[in-house]
Amino acid sequence: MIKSMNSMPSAIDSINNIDNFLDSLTERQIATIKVGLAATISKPVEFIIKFNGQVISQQTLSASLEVLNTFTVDCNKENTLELTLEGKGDTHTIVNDQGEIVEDSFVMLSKLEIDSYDIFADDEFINNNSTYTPVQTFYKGFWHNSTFSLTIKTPFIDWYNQQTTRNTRVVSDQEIQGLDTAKMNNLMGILDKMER
Amino acid sequence: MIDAVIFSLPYTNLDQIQSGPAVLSGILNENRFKSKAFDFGTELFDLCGRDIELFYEIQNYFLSPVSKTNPIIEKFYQRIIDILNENPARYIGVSVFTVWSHRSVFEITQRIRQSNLKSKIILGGRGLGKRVYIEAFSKDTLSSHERKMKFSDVMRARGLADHNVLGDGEDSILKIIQGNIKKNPTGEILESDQFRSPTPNYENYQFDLYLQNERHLPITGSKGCVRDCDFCDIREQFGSYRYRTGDNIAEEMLRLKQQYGINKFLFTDSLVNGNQKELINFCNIIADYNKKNPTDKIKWTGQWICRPQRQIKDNLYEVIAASGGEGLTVGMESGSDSVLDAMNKKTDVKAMFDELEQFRQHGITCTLLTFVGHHSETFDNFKEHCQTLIRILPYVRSGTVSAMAAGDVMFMLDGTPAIKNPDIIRSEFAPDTIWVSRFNPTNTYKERIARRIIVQRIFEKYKIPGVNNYGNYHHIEKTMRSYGDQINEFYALSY
Repeated sequence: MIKSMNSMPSAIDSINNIDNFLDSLTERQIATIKVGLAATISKPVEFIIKFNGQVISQQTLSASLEVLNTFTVDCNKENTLELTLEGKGDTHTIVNDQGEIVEDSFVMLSKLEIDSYDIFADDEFINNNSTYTPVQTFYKGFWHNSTFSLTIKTPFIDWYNQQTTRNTRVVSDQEIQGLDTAKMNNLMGILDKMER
Repeated sequence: MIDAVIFSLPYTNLDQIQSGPAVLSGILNENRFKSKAFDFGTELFDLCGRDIELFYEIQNYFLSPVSKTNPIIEKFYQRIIDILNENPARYIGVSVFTVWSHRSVFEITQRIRQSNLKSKIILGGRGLGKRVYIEAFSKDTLSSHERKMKFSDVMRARGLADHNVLGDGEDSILKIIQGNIKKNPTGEILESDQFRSPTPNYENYQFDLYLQNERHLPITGSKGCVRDCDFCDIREQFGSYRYRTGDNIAEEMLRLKQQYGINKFLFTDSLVNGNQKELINFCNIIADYNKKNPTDKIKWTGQWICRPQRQIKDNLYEVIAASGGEGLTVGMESGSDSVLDAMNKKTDVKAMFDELEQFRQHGITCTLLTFVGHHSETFDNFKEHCQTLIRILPYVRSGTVSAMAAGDVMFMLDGTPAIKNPDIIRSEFAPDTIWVSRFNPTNTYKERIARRIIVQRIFEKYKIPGVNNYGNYHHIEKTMRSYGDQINEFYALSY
C-alpha cells in the first residue's frame, strides 16, 4: 500500500485503487450514436433504427437522399443497435433484357459513429460484433429486406478499446504502450520508499 | 589537415538527426574551408550493440554524478579520440546543445587535451551558457565554486575550451576559422545571430543508426517561438522569433532532396506555424512539386502549436495536406484548461479538439505531447487531464493521433518563466526535478510520479501508442537512486 501524508485526494491514494480510478473516468450510461444513410430510391422503402428493441427512428424513404441520424440513448450493460430495411418488394428492382439493373431501391450506410468512435471504418470490429440477416455478410448496405444488428456493451469506451485493433500496433522500439511489469513494479517500489 | 571537425555528443535521442554540426560544416564548406561533421550519439548506440534499452541505461551516466567510468563509455571516448586522430583538424567544434551534454563535453575535452591532438577547441550551443548541470557531476569533479558557475565559464577556466560561442554558431564559426574573431567585453565569449541556411554536410552521418520509421533529414525554417509558455526555455534560448521565407525553405528542401535522395524532412523549428503566411507559401510550392511528381512526393513533419480556430488562415489545413505535412508534433501538454491557462499556453482544450477534427478531416496525422505535474496542477486538474486523454481516444483509433507522449514529470528548467515564480521552491541538489509550489504543496515529486504511473496505466488499458516511455522511466529511476533521502528531507521541510 502506497501511503499519502495528506488528507486531500491524491494520485498516491488513487494508485492503490487504480481500477476504481480508471473506471471513474469512463462512467457513462448513455451513448451518442450517429447513423448516416445514402439512399437510392426508385420506389419507397422503410428504414427503421432500433436500440434495445425500441424504435428510435422510422423513416419512409421515398426519394434518393443522404441523411444523418443522431440520437442519444440510455444504455444497459449489453445493448443492441438494429438497422432494418423493410418494404422492398418484387417491383422495386427492374432488370433489362441484358440482365442489368436499371431501377432499384437500396440504402448504403455512410456513417456509423458511437461516442465519436468511427465504427464504420472498423471492419474487424463490425464483423466480430454484428449479425446481418437473412444475408450473412454485411457490405455496409441494404439491398434486400434485412437487419443489421450490432452488439454494444458498456462502458462503451472500455469495451470498444479492448475489442478494436485500430492504431494499437507498436511500430518501433521507442513506441510502446507501457513499461513492462518489472519496470512498473520498480517504480511502485520507488514510490513506496518516498515519504511525501 | 582539414580546417574543422565538428560533432555532437550524448545525451542523444535517436529519433532525430542532430543537424547542428552538419549545418556548421555546411557553412564552412560553402566558404571554401574543409570540414567534417559527426553525430557521436549514434556511435555510442553502435557500441551498445544497437540495444535501445541498454543505450538509454548507459546514457544515464551523463545525467548522474557517478564517479566510476563505465567500460562502454570509456570505449566510446576512445573511439572519438581515434576518429579525431584519423581526421586531424585545426579546430575541433563540440556542440553543447543542452545541459544534458555537459558531462560528455567536459569529459571528452579533457581527453582531447590529454591526447596528442593540438587542435583548438570551440564549444557552442544553447546549453553552453547555462549553469553547470550539477546533477551530472560529483563533488569530487567540480568544486563548490564551479558548481555555481555557467558551464562556459567552467570550461574556459579549466582550459578545456579555446572559444565559447553562446547560442547558435553559424556566424561565429566562420569568423573563428577565418581568424576574424570579434570578442565581446568579457574577452572570450562570442555570440552569433545570423540565420544562415547552407546545405548541411551529412557525409559522415550514419543514417542507418537513427531510430526513424522513415529516413528523414532535418531542416530549419525558424528560430524561437511566438509563445512564452511558463515551462519552456525556448524564448530565453533563442530570443525573439525569426523566420525564413517560405520560398527560401522550399528551395533548400528541394535541393536536399536532390542531393541525398531523401523525400522526408523534419523541421527542427520550435514550431512550424509561427508565421502562417510563410508556412502557406512554403506549402504551396511543395504542394505544386507533389502534384507534378505524384510518384516521388515530398513529406515533411515538425512541431506545431495549437491555436483557436478563429486565428487559422483559410486554407491552411488543405495546403498542409497537399504539401505532404504529416505527423505534426503538437504540444498539448495538459488536458486541463486551468493548467493550460497557468502555463500561458494561450489555447484551451476545446481549441485542441477543434484542431484534431480539422486534422482528421484533412488526413493530417499528429503526435500529442503531454506531461503531468505542472506546478499549478491539482489532483482535480489531473483528473481532468485523464478525462481529456480518454476523450482523445477516438482520434487515436482513427489514426489522426498516431501516438502520444505521456511525458516526464514537470522539469523546472533554467531560463523558463516558471522558475522566476517566487512561490516555487527548488531543491539545491536537484533543482530541475525536486521542487514544490507554496500554492500547491501536495504536488510533490512522489505525487507527480504517481500521476505519471496512472497515465501509464491509461496508456496500457486503452492501448495508446506511446512515445519514449523508457527514457522517462530511466530518468525517474536515476533521480530516486541518486537523491532518495534528500528528497524525503526536502519535502519534510516544505510541509
